[in-house]
Order: sequence, then C-alpha cells, then structure tokens
Amino acid sequence: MWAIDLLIGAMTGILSGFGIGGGTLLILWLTLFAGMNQLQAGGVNLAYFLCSGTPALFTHIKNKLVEKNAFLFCTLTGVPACIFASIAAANIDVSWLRRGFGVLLLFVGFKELFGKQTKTEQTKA
Amino acid sequence: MKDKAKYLITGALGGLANGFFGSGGGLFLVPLFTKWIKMDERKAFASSVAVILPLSLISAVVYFIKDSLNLGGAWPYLVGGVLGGIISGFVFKKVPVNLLRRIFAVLIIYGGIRAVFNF
Repeated sequence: MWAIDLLIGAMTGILSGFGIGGGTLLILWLTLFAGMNQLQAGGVNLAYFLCSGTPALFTHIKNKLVEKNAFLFCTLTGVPACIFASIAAANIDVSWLRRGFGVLLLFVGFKELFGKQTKTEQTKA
Repeated sequence: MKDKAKYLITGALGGLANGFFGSGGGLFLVPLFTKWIKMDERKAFASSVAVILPLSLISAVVYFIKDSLNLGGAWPYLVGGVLGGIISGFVFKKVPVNLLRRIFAVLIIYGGIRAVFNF
C-alpha cells in the first residue's frame, strides 16, 4: 500500500535527519516486510538517500558544518572502495550479502547499546 | 593516529558499506566521526552526508550498470524520504535523541539476528 510506504519513508527520513540510521531501518523494512532482497533494498536506499540527502547537504554547506578534511580524505578512499564493493555486490550470492549486513548491524547495534555515550549527544542543536 | 589517516580508514569502511549494502552514513560514518575522531556531533552528521552522498551516487550508477537497481514501486519511499527530511529540520530540538538511539540499536539488533540467520 503506497500510503504506508510513504509513511515509512517519512519516518525513516526524519530519523536520518537526526543522524540516526534511517536508511538502515528502511533497508530492514524493505527486506523483512516488503519482500525485497538485500541487493534491491540497498539500491532503493541509494536512490532514497540521493533524494533526501541532497537538500540537506546544501543546508549543511551553507551553515559551514562540513569538515573539509573529512570530505577530502574520506572520499579519497571511499570512492574506490564503493566502486569495488558495488561491483562485488552484484556478483555475490544475495543471501551472503544479507548475512554480511546482519553482522554489521549486530556489531553497530551492540556498540550503540552498550558503548559509551558521547558527551555532546544531548546538546546538539 | 593522525586525523587524516583516520579519515582515510573511515572513508574506506564507509565506501565498502555503501557499495555492498547501499548504506553506511548514519550506521558507520557518524559513530566513527564522533567516537573515534571526536568531531562535534553536528559537524559529524553534516560531514557524513557530504561524504556518503557522492559515494551513493557512484554506487547507484554502478548498481544501474550492473542491473542491480530495481526501483519499481519504490516511489512512495522516495517521496516520504524527502518529506521526512524536511520535517526533521523542524522537530530536531524537541526530540530525545539518546532514547531514539537506544530504540534504533534494539531494532537493528533484531534485524541483524534475522539477517544473519536468514529468516
């Protein structure tokens, strides 16, 4: 039902706006409840982020919040890494892709739940 | 370790997550920026968007070339995402972000278990 899809998209979009992994939750929704496989859900999330992240980036640049060195040095390694991984993703069994995603989720989830909280978390504007 | 070296490692990890899983910003870059590089949270989030957006564009192009991109029926999510992004700007100061992060953690652990065991 398109109205529910729209609502899910809006809710995960709001979370993304708070710096919480909205895209991650969208992928979970797509794979667990919308019948998509991991690769298709990842592709939808890429398109989704291009839609929701582009306007946000302009605001961040305008507010001078983008750390220039972070951008330069992360993209330097990030671009070849994402080209390699997106080609590889098309060529490996999608069930292994899903398991890999699961391992990553468990790792981040437990760190988030039991790790130290950053001091600035409640003061961000 | 110097910040530049940390950025190089963070970028490579974010790029791998982006290519393999179509994600990686909120999941990977923001925690590494704040907890490892000790960046201010607002800058961390803004910078993660700046990094992951071009990576997502490149990954999306590769997905398209490789015939992995299948957006049939996905338009409500895309429209919802744009609306949600706009709404979040207005309610940002009124939400308990720490509580949301904990709920998020529980949800992804649940999703992680289901994904690892493929059910």
